[in-house]
Amino acid sequence: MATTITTERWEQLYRQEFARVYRALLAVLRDPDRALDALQDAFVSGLRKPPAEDADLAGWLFVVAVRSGRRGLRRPFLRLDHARSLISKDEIDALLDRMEVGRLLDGLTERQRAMVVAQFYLGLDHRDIARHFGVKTGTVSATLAQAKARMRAEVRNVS
Amino acid sequence: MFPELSIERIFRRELDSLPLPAERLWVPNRQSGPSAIVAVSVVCAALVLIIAAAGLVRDASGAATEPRGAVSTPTSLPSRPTCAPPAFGANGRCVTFLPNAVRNPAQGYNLTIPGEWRETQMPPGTEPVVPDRQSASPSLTAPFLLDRHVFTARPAQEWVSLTTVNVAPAWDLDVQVWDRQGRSAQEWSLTFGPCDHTTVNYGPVGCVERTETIRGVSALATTVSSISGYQATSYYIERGDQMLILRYWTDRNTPPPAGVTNATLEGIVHSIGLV
Repeated sequence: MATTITTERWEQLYRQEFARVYRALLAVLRDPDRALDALQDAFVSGLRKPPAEDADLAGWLFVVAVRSGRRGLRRPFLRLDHARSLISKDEIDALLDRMEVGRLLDGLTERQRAMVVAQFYLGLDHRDIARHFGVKTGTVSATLAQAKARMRAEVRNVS
Repeated sequence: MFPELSIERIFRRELDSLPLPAERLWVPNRQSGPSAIVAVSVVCAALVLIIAAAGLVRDASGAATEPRGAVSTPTSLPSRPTCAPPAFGANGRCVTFLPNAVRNPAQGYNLTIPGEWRETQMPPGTEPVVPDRQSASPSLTAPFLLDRHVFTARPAQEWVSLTTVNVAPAWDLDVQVWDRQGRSAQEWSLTFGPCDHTTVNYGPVGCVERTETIRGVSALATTVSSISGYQATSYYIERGDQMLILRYWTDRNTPPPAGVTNATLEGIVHSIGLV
């Protein structure tokens, strides 16, 4: 399907969604440099082949970035002024460890974390998550159910 | 059952406080090869020559045809984007600064202010006071005022010219943390706030009070209007032994900074995250 998202529009959307998606990636990847690289890879992917519609761009960027974070792709053709993040992985780890959310997510697999963050932070429903991750809705439901069970257990352990 | 609604709130509150990298680390920057730079430079130079030549021709013809004193209006100007404030034109585009996160770990709150806003310092030695009760309210001076930050969208010079002794100018946001000395938000608003019942006798509206929930936290909001056209809006949030107060004034006699409206101020207040 032909897309109408221009490069300028894509840049604009990226700027709008950066903060939310970057923070979601920090929660999943717990590494500022990896999160930044992954999100910039997702941005480049969108330049090459933008999503079909503007709606739900955060979800699209997030999932593409999560995949990129796993693969460790590099940016090939669009240069982004890029240096290492000013905050270290250890600092982010410490920050997340102090947070209730950080502690809850810590006991999950990266895939579970990604789906939990997509649902609770980015506000995607099961169908959206399934569409973005390219899996069946049932798989999302099962993954989230397992994740929630683990989080409940974590809450019980703490209390 | 898993408390999903509250967990969503917790996710938003906590993850929204994670720090962002500096903008220069992630803002897209188009790369051009050397040949493209040369080509662009040549085209720009040619355009400059054409425009300069056209200007000379016009000046020469205009001197002969227009009456003395007439204003010459160029027939065509380079098109510039018309940007609604706070956006501004840059390189032919409308650009807005990205919002900035303000963190106050000592007092346990975060705020998001628009990119063109900044923190400003009240003159040294000033303390917020209740209107008309400056000398009668020793309890409102330090050490009971624990922390104060004022945010503005005005340039420094303009801000200084508007600042009175203790009150931040209209259209600024004043965030204060007080030792609440056992007072509830409502008691505070009725004694020390602009809704002080002993002094609210101006304006037909008086004090309007309501309770709001801001990102899961209960806040008492008061609005006082005056006949002369200003309005003070205050939000009081009880936090342990402290009272967090967010206050702004609007004034129809004081023009707001470009792009600043009530909605801007409300947006900042409602961005507050308590940690």
